[in-house]
Amino acid sequence: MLKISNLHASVEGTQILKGISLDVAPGEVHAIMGPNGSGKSTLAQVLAGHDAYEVNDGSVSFLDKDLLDMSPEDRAREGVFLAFQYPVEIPGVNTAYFLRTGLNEILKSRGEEEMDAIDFLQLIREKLKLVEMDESFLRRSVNEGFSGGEKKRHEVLQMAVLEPRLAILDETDSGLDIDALKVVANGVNELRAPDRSTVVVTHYQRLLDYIVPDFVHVLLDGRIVRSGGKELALKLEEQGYDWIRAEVAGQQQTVGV
Amino acid sequence: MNPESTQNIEHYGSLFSASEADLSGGASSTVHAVRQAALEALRREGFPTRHDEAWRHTNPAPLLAELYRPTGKISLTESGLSDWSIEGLGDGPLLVFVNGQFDEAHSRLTDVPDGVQIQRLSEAIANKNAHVAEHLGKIAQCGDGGFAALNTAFVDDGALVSLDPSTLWDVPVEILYITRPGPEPTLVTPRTLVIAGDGSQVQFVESFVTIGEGDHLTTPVTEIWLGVGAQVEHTRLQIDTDQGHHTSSLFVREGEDARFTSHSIGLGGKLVRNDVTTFLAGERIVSTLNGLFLSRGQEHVDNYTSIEHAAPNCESHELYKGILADKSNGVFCGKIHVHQIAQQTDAYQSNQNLLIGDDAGIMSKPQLEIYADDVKCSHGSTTGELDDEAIFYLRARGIGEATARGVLTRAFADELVDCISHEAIRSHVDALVTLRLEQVLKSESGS
Repeated sequence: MLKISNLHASVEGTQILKGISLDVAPGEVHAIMGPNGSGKSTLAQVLAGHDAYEVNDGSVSFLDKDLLDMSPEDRAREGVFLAFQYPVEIPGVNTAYFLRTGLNEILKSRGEEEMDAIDFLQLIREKLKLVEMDESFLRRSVNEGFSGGEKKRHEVLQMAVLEPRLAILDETDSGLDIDALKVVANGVNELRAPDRSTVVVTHYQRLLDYIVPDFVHVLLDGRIVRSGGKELALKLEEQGYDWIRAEVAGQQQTVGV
Repeated sequence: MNPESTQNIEHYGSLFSASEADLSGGASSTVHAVRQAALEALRREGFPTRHDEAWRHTNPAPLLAELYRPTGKISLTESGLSDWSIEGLGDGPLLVFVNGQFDEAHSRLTDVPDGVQIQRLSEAIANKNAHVAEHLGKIAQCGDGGFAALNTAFVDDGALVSLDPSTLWDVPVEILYITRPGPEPTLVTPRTLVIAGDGSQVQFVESFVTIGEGDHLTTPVTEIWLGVGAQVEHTRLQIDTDQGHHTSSLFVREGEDARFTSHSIGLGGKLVRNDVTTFLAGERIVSTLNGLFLSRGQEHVDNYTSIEHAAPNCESHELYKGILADKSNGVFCGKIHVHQIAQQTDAYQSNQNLLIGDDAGIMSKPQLEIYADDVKCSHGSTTGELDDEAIFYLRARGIGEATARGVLTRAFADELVDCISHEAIRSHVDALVTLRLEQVLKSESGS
């Protein structure tokens, strides 16, 4: 599904990603963990196509197509979805209009029939239940005045409407209390499917109690330095990142000698 | 006085001498004294130059480069007009003027309730209408010369809307002023007088539209009087061409407890200058000035507003937004003058501008003159481009970049369109803003 090879990326001349390689097969859930500044969010933004980040080396293929060659909208139309860490407030743009426009652009790009307002309303009512959101959200401006939890639920709602093949959740747990976290995790789990993959980017293990990953990768200073099963996340929760840092430093010394 | 001004004054002076006997009411009417006084002021004070403070950011020279003259009566075909009148206003009155002359065939002079008078200004002048004698030219500031004086000197036809005290009318009055340039540089001087008596309520729309090519100068003057507790909502639509010079003046005088709302929608013209002056003469007035303009190409649009707080306990709200593409330029000047007596004034002003592309520019100038010590006055001005993060967010949901820009620009404009309370007027404005926005965004992507 997703194949990242030796990905290097920088922002304003500062190298952030320094050779990331990762394979995500259909149906798998991968967690990417790491301390602040390790490059987790950069990886998420680069995959979604944010132009503030420059890719210096490496490649990313998605369903055997060159992802890096595509515009952000084409990536979305191909089925890549990024749940933003900081969803953007867009005053004056009605949430229902926003969701329907996105969905219809994606349907259109696949040669499928666009959805009219009535069919869309039916669909959205189902999806709202999934994230326990009220219909009144649809009449509000996109994310404007939403609480932190509402913004994150809105991200999962968008994911549920657009039904991506690859969902990247960027710190979707940050700023959520435990109840909101459960709602968000439940929404994500409901969308799990054999042909749908998920990459969960998170600082804490907490979210992974609810969205159980198949693989856990530790990102440190722009590189994946450890990969393992879900038990790796538990170890990080107990012991922090210092032991990995020490091990990595030791290895590099050994290599240096 | 500069040479252009002198030459123009001679020209308009001789035009006046040649035509004054034909102006409505003739040379013996009371209105004629108003015309003559305006012409005198014009002779004395001349036209503005860029050395005048009020014209520092808009060079008036292009308005004086040609000697404009009226065309006389021109008839238009139905097809030229249908786009510009508002659908869904039902059987309300519609007054159409082409180059200042009444177009009876396209107008709709319907029965109106008791206490409402809608008539041609020329008839009112000829009939020695009391409102005309009492109000015409009384708040239009012609003493400084300039374009308001030019209009007043040639007052002939236009619209008179008056409501007797306590008359409430919810059917909007529509006034359509068409400029149809002739082969020679064309002068059009539309005039509207509205008198809302104490406790009356009315809304009206003035559309200023140019059809066809040709150099022209359209200089409308609108005077609105609000009595005690009167409520008036005014929508002004202005659509001009690449050869269009448009300098408008709106003068408003509000009595105590009045509610006045103005929506000024500017959708193009080579050089456009819109002056708004509202005088808050009584206590507890709430006055709202909204403005939206979209410019492209080499257009220059100047909105010059002035709110006179001359009584205590009044509120004014002002929001002007500009969307400027290509090499177009805009000016917003917002003067708020709080007189010494006007304690407890609450005045809020905001000017927000969206620049599309690198070559567009705006001069935004709040001007607060506060002589009372217990007031709340705030103002803010922002100028910028579309939010890149918002564009990325939309694109990340599959929405193409051009569509994303369109959606965000539209949202910026909608805040003002949505303020128009009457649904049919709002959808009319909405449709014209949509058309204009397409042009603005297209010309940008093509440049």
